[in-house]
Amino acid sequence: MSTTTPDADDAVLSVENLSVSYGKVQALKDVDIAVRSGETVAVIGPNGAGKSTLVDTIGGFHDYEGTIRYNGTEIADSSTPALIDDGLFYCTERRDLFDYMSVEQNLRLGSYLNNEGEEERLADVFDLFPRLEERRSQETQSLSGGEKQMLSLGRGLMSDPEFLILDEPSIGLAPVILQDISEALESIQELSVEVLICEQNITFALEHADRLYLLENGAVRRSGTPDSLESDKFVETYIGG
Amino acid sequence: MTRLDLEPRQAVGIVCLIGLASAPFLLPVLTLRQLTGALFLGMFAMSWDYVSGYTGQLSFGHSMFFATGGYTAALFNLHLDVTPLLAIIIGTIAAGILGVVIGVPALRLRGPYLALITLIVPLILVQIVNIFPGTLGGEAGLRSPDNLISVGDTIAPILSTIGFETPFDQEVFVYYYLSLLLFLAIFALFYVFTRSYVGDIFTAIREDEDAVLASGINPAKFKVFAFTMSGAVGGLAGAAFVHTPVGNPNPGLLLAVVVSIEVVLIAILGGMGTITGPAAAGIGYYFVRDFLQSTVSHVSMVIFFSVALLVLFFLPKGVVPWLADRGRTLLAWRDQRGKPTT
Repeated sequence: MSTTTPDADDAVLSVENLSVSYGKVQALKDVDIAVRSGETVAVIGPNGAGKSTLVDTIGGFHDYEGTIRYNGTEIADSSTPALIDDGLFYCTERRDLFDYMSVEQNLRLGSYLNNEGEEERLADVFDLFPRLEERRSQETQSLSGGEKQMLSLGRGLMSDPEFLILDEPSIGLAPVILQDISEALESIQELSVEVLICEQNITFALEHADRLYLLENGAVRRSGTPDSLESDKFVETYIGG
Repeated sequence: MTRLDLEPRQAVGIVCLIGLASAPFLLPVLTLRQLTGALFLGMFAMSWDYVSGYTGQLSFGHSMFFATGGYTAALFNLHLDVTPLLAIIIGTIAAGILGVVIGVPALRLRGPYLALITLIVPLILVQIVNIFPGTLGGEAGLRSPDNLISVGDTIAPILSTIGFETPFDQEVFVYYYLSLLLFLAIFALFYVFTRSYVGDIFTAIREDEDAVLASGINPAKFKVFAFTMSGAVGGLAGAAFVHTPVGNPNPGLLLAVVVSIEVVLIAILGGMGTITGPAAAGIGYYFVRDFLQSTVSHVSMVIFFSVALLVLFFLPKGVVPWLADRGRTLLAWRDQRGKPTT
């Protein structure tokens, strides 16, 4: 099995022996992953592999066994708002937007904990996603799926994050919109923000990640760089090569 | 002459305000006295709507705040000779403190905890009132504390000249306006809060608490704030109520289970999460209930609650939102008719 998990000591985010259960069903078993400074890491795997459970747990939404350290500090006792205050923002697969609010209201909620420089960040988000600026007063429920994804990412950026977690950012998006999201992600990577992506779209993950983990049935089966995994027979079954 | 451009809802608001302000000159004195009591029910209903209608945290025992404010104010006035104004302030603070004491542990958890706790606390308070009849008056309640103000020699002659000649009429007149001022102040306070950024977060909590958490906002903090403020305002209404001629500190008026049920029903009938709906429904409810009790007292509650259930069945969003929708449809239809055909 290919495993190139970096030493947890030099990681910004380190997950060790993580286990999560829903009643009698074990969703994650002894998962180890790490994200180092400046890295983009992707977690790939089929439906039901435990990807969303993993990021939900890191985002503070589940109890767990094991260790999750962010900047060297165990997060078990940190609430989600406290994690966001520490720079870790989680854009969920649900997107968690408020449909009856305007685009701008949703964006401003992202800077609730850190409203210093809010206007500049809002301008930056509109630079990154001009479509959101065109629709800034529009109710969120009238946006397309792609625009909602942009809004979810934009709200994450409004918190001035140091670490972004993206759960299925490409899900249900048309290729043209996916291109916009890809470009936005590249801009975010240039800001030296660490990114952890959960993806079923392997091509998208391989394109953007410095390293990947393959999750299956709640456990890490493979990990490595895109080059090393692309030539892995086990991973090929997921890539379809 | 410049033309004042008002939105239809603003125009309706102004008409209602003019109607309430001119009520003493249009209604018989006894009806005016009823309207004074109705305004307090409206205030209490708004306080419930502020927390339950906006944040979605259901309180089934809001009478505890009305009673805490009312009893605390009455006790301070009766036993410690505190002035009515100061007693009302103390009653308001006591209800706010009760909000913190209950809200902090109950609202940090999700699930039915708040609903359960708010069901139980008024029952405990009723028992306490009955255990200490000497101090709290038991089932009969306390004697009425001093009125907030007395119609002095300065005002009385003026009131006589405008048709309020007897001391009873003058008292009704003065207390109606005092109650109306308090009603409008509470309405304005809740209206401003619920239409602000804080109100956006309350509504967001009601719609999706996880999404609020994912935005970095601690929902518990806002829920406790809403609950405490709601409790304090409910307490203010109760404290002021007992210092008027229309209210007195007894458990049937302030603390009974039916008081808590009524306030929930009023807010739902009026339109939860609107402030305007519960305010209006509180006034309407008071009159309908009094009318039924005076005409068919033995079956009044059966009729009343049956009608309320029918209204809920056919107008689940409440009467005021339904009326607002009908009004908008009518205006749209009128505008459409006014357009030239091509």
